[in-house]
Amino acid sequence: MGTPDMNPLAAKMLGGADFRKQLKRQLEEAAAKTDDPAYRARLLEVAEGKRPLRTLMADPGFLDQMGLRGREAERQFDETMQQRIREALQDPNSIWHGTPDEVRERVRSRLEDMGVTIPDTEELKALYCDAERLGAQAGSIIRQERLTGWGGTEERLAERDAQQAGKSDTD
Amino acid sequence: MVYFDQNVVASGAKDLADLRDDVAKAQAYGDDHLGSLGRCNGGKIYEAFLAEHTKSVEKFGELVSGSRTLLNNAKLHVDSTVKAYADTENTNTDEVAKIWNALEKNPKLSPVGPASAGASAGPLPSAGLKPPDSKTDDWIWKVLSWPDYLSISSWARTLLNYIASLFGIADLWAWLWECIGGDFNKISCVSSAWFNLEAYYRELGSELKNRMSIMFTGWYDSADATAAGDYFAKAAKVLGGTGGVPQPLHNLGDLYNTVSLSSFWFYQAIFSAVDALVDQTIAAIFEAGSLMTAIAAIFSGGLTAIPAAIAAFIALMSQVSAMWGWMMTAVYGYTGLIALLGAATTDVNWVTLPEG
Repeated sequence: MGTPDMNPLAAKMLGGADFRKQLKRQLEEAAAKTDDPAYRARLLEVAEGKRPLRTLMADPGFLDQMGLRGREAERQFDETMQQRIREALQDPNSIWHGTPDEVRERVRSRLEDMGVTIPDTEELKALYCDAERLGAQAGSIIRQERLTGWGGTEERLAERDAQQAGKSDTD
Repeated sequence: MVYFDQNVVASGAKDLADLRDDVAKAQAYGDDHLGSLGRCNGGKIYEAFLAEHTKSVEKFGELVSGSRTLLNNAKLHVDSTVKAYADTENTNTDEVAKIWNALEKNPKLSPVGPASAGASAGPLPSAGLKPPDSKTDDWIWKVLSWPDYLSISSWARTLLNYIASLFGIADLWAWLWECIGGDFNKISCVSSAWFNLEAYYRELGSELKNRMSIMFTGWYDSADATAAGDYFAKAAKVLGGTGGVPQPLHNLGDLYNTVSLSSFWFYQAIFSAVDALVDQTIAAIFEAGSLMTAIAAIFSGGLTAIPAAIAAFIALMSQVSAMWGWMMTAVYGYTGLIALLGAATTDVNWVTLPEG
């Protein structure tokens, strides 16, 4: 049984093999919770490393789960981000406050204190083939899934939306 | 009385004309293959290199022009030699020698003398000019266009841009283009072009010597033939020999090769850093359970929320910064190479006989 297929450096920085196992469990839990069979199958494939983790970013099931599906959700996301950033830049106590150079330096030193290492050129170069493969594979899978509406997930979500809209009309 | 066969020597004059005209082909090759880089545009790092490239192309133009003048003036002097002997029945040796003695002799160089029996002219040097090839592919477009699958889910790209804005970068991909944009793969092609021009000049020097030695089968046993022989020995060495034109062209080929390879390595590193960011962002959101929770964590928890993603972003910026530093070092070295090319041109001009 495999573990999620993702950029090796990303996995390493997040905690390596332990992280992958934890993520796998989380994906399996999410699969158990959903009542959409197509999305469940996809989550399990991601958990086992049969499709790249990043394909989730375009998966309507994932977007729905994370509260990011649709115009309204996107608009709210933009608004919240912009507001938070504004506040952070103005707050003298925030780590994000200051000139770009100050921020970078402060962040770098804080990361050092936390024991998080910043990868160097050699480490990054070594990843290139993996990165290229993941990107190409994800791109191809996403394009294919769009042709079938993600195995019916899109249709199911649209139906659910319509039902909910119908309910609020009759309230 | 000098041995002088007018027909043979006149044929040598024609050879000089042919070589002179052939040099125009080297210029055309330069226009096509060196010039093509000058018509590109890119980000700051690329433009820094292009600024030097433009200077070297100019210097190359001066070199070719100087080479052409050298060959043309030599031809005119051979013409004058033929006329002088025709007018005086081969007795005018002192006068003729004065023309050819215009330059100091190099005691280490033997004059070009008559060729052995059966020698024949080789092909003109431009016959060897092949189109340049590139050792690398279009990698920059991979880095700048790989988010095409990200654009299907624009929020991911938006999120990465928001992380970037925390560091003072409004749009990550616009910033990447501004810094590292450019047709770096074309630089590899131009490296090949410089090497081919180096080969051209070696061939030019060699063929000049060859054809002149054939000419001297019709003109020898005299002080003026020897003086002319000294001149052509020098000209051939400056154009195509050690310490002459080929070396700076070779150096430029090496530099461009190094630059194109190094830039490729940086691109690999930058591509990988952005790629790591993508997976980390997804993992962080999944972990948080919702996008809004993840966002809140970035701002309230600071780095502890997504340290890996932030570290990847810092890595990305470091790589771009390192690439800039590396290019500045290359540009600094470049200036020295352009000076060498200029010095070679000066030598060519110095070896050129005065006209007429």
